[in-house]
Amino acid sequence: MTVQPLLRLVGVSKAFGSVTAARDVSLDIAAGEFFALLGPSGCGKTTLLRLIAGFETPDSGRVWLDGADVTDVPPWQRPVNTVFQSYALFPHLSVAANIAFGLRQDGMPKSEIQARVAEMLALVRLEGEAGRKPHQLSGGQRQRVALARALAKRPRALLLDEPLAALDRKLRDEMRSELTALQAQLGIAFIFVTHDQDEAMSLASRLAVMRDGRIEQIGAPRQVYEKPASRYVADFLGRANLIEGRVAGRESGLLVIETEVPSLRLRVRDDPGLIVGMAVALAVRPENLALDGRGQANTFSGIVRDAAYAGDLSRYAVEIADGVTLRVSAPNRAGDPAPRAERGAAITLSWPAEAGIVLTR
Amino acid sequence: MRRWFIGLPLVWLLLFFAAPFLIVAAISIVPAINASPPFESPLDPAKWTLDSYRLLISDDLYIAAFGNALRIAFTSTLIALLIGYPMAYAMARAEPRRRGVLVMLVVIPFWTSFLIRVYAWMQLLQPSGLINSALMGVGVIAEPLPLMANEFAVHLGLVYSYLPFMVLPLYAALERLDPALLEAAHDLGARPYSAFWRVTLPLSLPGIVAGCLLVFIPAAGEFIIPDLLGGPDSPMIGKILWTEFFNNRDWPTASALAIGLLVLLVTPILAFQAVERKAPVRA
Repeated sequence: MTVQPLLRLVGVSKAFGSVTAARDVSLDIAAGEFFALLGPSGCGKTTLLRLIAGFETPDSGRVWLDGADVTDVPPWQRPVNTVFQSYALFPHLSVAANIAFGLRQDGMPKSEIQARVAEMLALVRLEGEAGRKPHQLSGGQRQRVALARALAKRPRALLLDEPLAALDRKLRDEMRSELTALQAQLGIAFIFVTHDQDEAMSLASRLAVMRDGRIEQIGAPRQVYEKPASRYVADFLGRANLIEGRVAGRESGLLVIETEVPSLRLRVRDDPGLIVGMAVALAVRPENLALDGRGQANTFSGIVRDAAYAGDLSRYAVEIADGVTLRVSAPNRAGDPAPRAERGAAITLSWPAEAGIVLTR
Repeated sequence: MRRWFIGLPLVWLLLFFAAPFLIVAAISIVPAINASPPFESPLDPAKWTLDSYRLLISDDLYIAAFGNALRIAFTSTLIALLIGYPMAYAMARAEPRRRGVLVMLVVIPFWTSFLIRVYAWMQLLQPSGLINSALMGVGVIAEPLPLMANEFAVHLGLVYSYLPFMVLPLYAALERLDPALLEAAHDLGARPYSAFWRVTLPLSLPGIVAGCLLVFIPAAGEFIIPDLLGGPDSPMIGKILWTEFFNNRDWPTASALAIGLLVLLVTPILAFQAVERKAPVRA
């Protein structure tokens, strides 16, 4: 992090009636970051974005932008701009007039406005559409106009509310790489809200996983994926098999976790912070389980309860003990028999000690 | 069956709009006679004449009446717009579950007969009416205020009667305005005042035009309100028309007046349609 963050939230809380949308949220975002606020609907991520934009004022806590306390500064005076989920393009104005809206508001000279609008149209590759009205554009084009309009004022940070949610899948993939390129080119902070973990992981340089108005974990996507801080994060970001148990002891350099099933003793890499008797959960990602592995720290015989072919990979559900069924995903390559295990087949399921993540929260 | 349903409104229009219009137009081009009916047969082309129309544009009385009607209708429409816009705005910004009640309150006056409501205003406004006797009772005034039989009373009656026709189309236009558009305007640097002028007002323009036409057109041809609340100083065309028809029994002149009023009022509708065609705001 740089010396002074671009955006700093300090103990921000906000409630709407009996619903608390943000509880004591503190967060630093640096200039030039591509930051994702990730969480299920109703977790408060949009409220946080609106607090940054100035559409809401916090019940308590402060919002700092660029070293200035903007908590009570109205949205029209904040150096950030928003791309709305519905785009909110002005239907009575042309594409060019939409982009020029904020510039005209600032009283920029006409010639400069024209130049800036042309620059923005080129940036989002809509040069030919300047004179059209929003309703004459496709969804993807509207998205670009919204982007151009928000970027025209050269904000310190661009706020995006579910930027890809309204687009179909092919367009979404295109827009995703365009946003990445745009952010790299402009070098300003992009802060976006999403409920889609794939979107958050592939776009963001850092993300915050939110739950019930709180930030559960902040970090780089890989860091959060590999070292989730809680059961909730492990399960929300990617898929995870969660097995509840308690720390039983240490054996040949590995930590042993016992579960309710006596035969199910799990081995993970030791962590000195864990004390014998502690209640923990073990999280194992489906892609780290092998159907045919042997000699790993964790090897169990199991029955395939479900097998589904999904093209690039196949998904299996394997029961390794009464009531303990683990999800497994294995890549498919040309020539492999697919699925590699039929429903009802008896197989050996295994995973190395380092694939297990011990969660205390 | 479907053709029949489509044809029904057409039959309706022919029967109740086109036919009466043609009858009035026919009467307007023949001379008046002292007979029953009091005009020459329009079926005889030899009798056709534009004398009634010539009278219309040569007699100051008619020109003044047209002028009064247009002027009073215009100011009444303007007042209704200035009162109606904030009302419609507040209704559109109210909580969704309260909006239905507010719309109901706007419509409720229609449950009482129009004529009865105008009589009620007479009771309030006349020299011995409620307002004057109350004011004199508390000693604010010594003489009754001239609240009736003048243009003030006509304006009051017109604005009161036609305000719902202004409020409802305005409400419809403002209610479907996406609040995110105002947030977008704020986000781009527009203060509330500026966001209103640059976003809310232009997007509610179709509602403004519709409301103004719905008030202006019936107000310009209004007969009952100027007859009951107005004075002799500035007769409106509706009153003159009525006098020609029933007092003077000059059907051709009355018909020419009706056609003239129609032409005057159709013009703004055509203008409205031209605006609508030029600016298809809703996708």
